[in-house]
Formats: sequence, structure tokens, C-alpha cells
Amino acid sequence: MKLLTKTNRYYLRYSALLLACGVVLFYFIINGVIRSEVSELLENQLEEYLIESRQNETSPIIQSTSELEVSLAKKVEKPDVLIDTLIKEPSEDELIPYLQLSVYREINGRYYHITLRESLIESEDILLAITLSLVLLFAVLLVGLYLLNKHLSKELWKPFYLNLEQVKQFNLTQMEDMSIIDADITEFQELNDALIKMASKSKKDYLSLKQFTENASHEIQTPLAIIRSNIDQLMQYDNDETRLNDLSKIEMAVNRILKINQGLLLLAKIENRQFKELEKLNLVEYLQQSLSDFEELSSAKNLSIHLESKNEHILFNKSLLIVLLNNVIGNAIRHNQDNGFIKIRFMANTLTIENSGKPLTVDPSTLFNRFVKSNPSAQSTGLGLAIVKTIGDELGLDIDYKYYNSTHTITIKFH
Amino acid sequence: MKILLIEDEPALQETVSKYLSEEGHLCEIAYNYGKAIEKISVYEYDCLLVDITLPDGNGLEVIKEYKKEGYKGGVIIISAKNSIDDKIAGLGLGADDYLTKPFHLHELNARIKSVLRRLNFDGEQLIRYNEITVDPDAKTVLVNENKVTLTKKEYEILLYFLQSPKRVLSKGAIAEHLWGDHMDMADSYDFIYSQIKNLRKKINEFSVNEYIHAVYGVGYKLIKE
Repeated sequence: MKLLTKTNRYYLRYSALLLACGVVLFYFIINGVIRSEVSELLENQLEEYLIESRQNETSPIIQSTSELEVSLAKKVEKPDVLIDTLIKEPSEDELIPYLQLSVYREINGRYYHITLRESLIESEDILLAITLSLVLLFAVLLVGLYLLNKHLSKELWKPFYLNLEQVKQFNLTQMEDMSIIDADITEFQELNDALIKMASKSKKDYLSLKQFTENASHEIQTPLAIIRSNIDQLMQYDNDETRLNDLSKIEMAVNRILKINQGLLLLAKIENRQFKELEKLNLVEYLQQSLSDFEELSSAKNLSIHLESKNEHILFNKSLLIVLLNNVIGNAIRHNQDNGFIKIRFMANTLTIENSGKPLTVDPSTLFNRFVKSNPSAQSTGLGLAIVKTIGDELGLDIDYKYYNSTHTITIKFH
Repeated sequence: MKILLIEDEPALQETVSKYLSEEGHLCEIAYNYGKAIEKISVYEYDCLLVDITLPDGNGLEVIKEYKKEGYKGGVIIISAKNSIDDKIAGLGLGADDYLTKPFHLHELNARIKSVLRRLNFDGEQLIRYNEITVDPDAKTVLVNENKVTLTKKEYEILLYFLQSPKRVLSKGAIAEHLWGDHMDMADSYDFIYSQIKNLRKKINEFSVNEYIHAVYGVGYKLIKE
């Protein structure tokens, strides 16, 4: 749930509670005030009536209306009674609430039972009006809060969301920095500053690590070259079989290191955007060249090769295309079985390479990781597909792998 | 042939010059840009081997200078950086070949031979070894004057052997010569074994002599026996 929505909910609940209690309390207070006013009114009316009656020479009139009842009474000591009562008005159909004051008083020597009443209906109407207004106010508050929430969401949080988007898209390996927008809200600005600092440090560390890796790789080349040439010399002159065998093993191990090193260097260069130039290339030409280069290898396994494609041009880097195709086709040959097949299709900017072969011994989702080999004892470096994937990442290709019906399929979508 | 090696790494200087001397070349060494310029202005060479990264300058400048003076020797760039830009720049300046460190000495030898042959230094266009004759331009192979049909890779293996006769060529060296930059494929040693088997068979169609001998555990050697 969004922060604003959550705070809003709290505000609304609190307001609702407060207002509910308030309305109730208010109701009782106003009611109390009304009643006290009305009872005071009744007291005053009584006093006025008594004064008037006592001043008059004639006896008070015995009457009975909804507002005043006077009747003769015995001399009693009864307290005054103030109560609520309901009277059926002859003109009205319903029972009307009244406040009633019932007293016994002596007027000019005789005792009378006097009852005064005042209608409460007007006061009740007022009370109702007040309560309704409060409820309406509450509704207006709700709507207002909702609109305010929407506005705040958009305006105040805009810089935050824009920067959040930048952070989401931040890629350590990309050269561009995040473009963080300044905010005039303290917390957001603090967050911005921290983010920029963190990103810049990470990038610096990353570049420095990459540079180190590249330099280390370069430095390794020369001593390896020296080892190799010296072993070569030793092999020329030695006749001892065991020693020659050992030398050969050393040479093959050195070759392996060299190849891994070259592979890593290539990966570093690709990631470093050193292959930037794009040209219009006829993919089929390069496919055919690659297949022809590997012709003997595929014949050695007696593989049948099918190539189906249209003469479509793609925008790509020439060196990387050659590396990509060689790796993918080389892979298809290497992981194939005798008398197997390779089917290559290129149309609608999608290259599909299918080859027969045993199922993978590794998790397919790791296939494009560095040093992952389906056949661990094989002499390959395990970098071939990692290189393919890196090329794909840098030049925006969609690469996919499937194994179905004893067939490995790699699909590469160009743009 | 007279070769000038322009290289600052001492161990590499030693290895390469020793190898080239054994191959019958005269090898001189320049260990930096200054010395290189000095030597090329005083002496004539059949081939220059230029390392691009020199302590006091750039090997490409040496090539520029060499070509400016109008010298006709071959130029092979050797560099630790497998940089396409350098390659293009170097070849654009008139270098004849570009070899990436680390390289097999036999590979260097093969390249030197190719460059020199192209520049007509050898006089003869054909490569001969006993009964075997190869015309590198026409890419034809004759054994005792009989034409032999070889596959592309078989041909390249034979040529490689002919360029370093009597030298033990390891399987690794052969593989790298065949596959070069196709890094990952260069470990198909079984493939080489079968190619050489076929090569021998084809040669022996027209000759009783064994030319390609296996050196146990290591590789092969071309020698008439």
C-alpha cells in the first residue's frame, strides 16, 4: 500500500472516531443546554403566572390546555416535578414531546395543582439540523482528504518517483550515470545525495576491478608465451618418451590457460564497448563462411547440415558477428553426436540453430554462465556461450535455449 | 634472411632470436624505438618483426618511418594487444602481417616464410621438400609430379609442416595454426589425428616414403625417412 494511502487511512479513522465521539457528545451537550433553557423558561412562566394570579382579585381559571393546566387541590406538601411527557395534540396526529413542570401552589388562600408545559419539538428540529450539518461536514472532509491525497501523490512525490525510476534502471556496467533530480523535501534530498554517492562509488570500484582484470590478463600473456616457446624448444631435442609426454601435458595445460585468458579478455572488451561500430551485414554470408571453416570438423562427425535462410541484412558489428556465429556453430558441432544433424534457420531477424545431442548435465538456466560446461571433462574453456550472451547483452539481442525431443535449440533475435 | 626483431621483453628477445638463428636466419635485436630507428637507417633487412608496445615509443611509428624511407623488407607486427584498431592501423601503414602474442614460434616462422615468399625474396614460388611440391598461389600439391587432392585443413597442415621441416610440431601448435582465432575449436586434437592419417594415406599413394612421423605424446614431424 502506498505511504500516502496508509497515512490517509489513519487520518480518516482518527477523524471518524473523533467526529463520532464529538457528534455524540455534542448531541448530549446541546440537548442538555436546550433542556436547561426550557426548564428555566417553565420556571419563569410559573413565576409570572403566580404573580399575575396573586395580584388578581378573581380566582385563577381552572383550565386544561396542552400548555397550562390548573386545578383545585388539597393542601399537600409535594415537591415540584419536572419531567418529559408526550401529549397528543388534537390538531396533530402524532405524539409531541413536552417538558412538563408540575407544582402545587397556594394562590389567594386556596391550593391549586398547576402544570406548565413547553414543546420540545422545535429544539429537537434544531438538534437534528446541527447533527446533520456535522455529518455533512464530515463527508466534505472525506472528499477533501481524498482529493488532497491525489494531488500530493502526484506533486510532492514526483521527484521521488522519478528518481526511483532512475535507481531501478541503474546498471553498474553502463557508462551513463543516473540523472537524479533535486527535491525540495529534506528527506528526499538526503536520499538523493546518498544514492548518487553510492552509485558513483560502486561504479568506480567496478571499473577499477575491470581494469585490474584486464591488466592482469595482459600480464599473463607474456610469461605464458615464454613458457610455451621454451617447452617447444625442449620438445625438439628430447627423445625420452616419458619426458616428451610430460612436456606435451604441460603444453596443453598452458594452451588451456591461454585460451581461457583470451576468452576473458574478449569478454572484458565486449563489456567495455570496444566493439561499437555497426554495419549492415548479410548474415547468411557469415553463416556460410563459418560453416565452411568448420566443414572438416562437422564431416568428421558425419553431421548433416541444413541451412535455410533469407538474404536479410542486420545492423551489427562485424567482428562480434563472426565470434557469435563461430561460437554458436562450434558449440552445435561439439555437442553433437555422430551422424547427427544441425539445422540453421534465419528469417524475420531470428536465427535458430538446432542440433541433435545428449541432454544437458547442467541446469539450462546456467548454460550461458562463464565456465559452465555440460561435459566437464571436455577441453573447452566453458566461455563460448558466455561470450555469446555478453554479445547479446551489449547489442540488445534476445537469446533463448530449449531442449526438446533430443534437440538443443538456440534462438537469437536480432533487431 | 636478415631479420630485425624490435621487442623490449628480454626473455622473448632471447627465445625468438635463438629460434630464428636455428632456422638459418640472421637475427638482430632492437630493444626500443630509438634503437630501432637507428638500425633501420643503417642496415638493410629482409623482414622486420615489430612489437607495438615499446618503452619509448610506438611500433607503428617505426613502420611509418620504415615505409617512408622506401625500404622493401617485409613487416610483421607482433603485439600483446589483440586490438582490431591496431591491426587495421598497422596493415594500413603497410605492414604485411599481424601476429598476436603469445604465438607459437612455428607460427611466426610460417608467417615470415609467407611474407618473404610474397615479396619474392625466395626467388622461387614453389615450396619443395623431397618428393613433395606445393604451389602456394595455386594451392596445388604434387607428390612425384602426381597431383594430390587435399581438403582445406589437410592442405594447411601440410604447408605448415613444409615451412618448418624436421621440427617437432606439437598438436597444440598445429591446432592453433588451423583454427587461429576460433579459440574454442582449437582443442580438437582427435580431429588433427584423423586429418594427418588421411594426409599420410594420400601422400603414400604416390610415394613409398614416410614423411609425417608421430612424435609420441607430443605431435608430428616432417622428415623424409
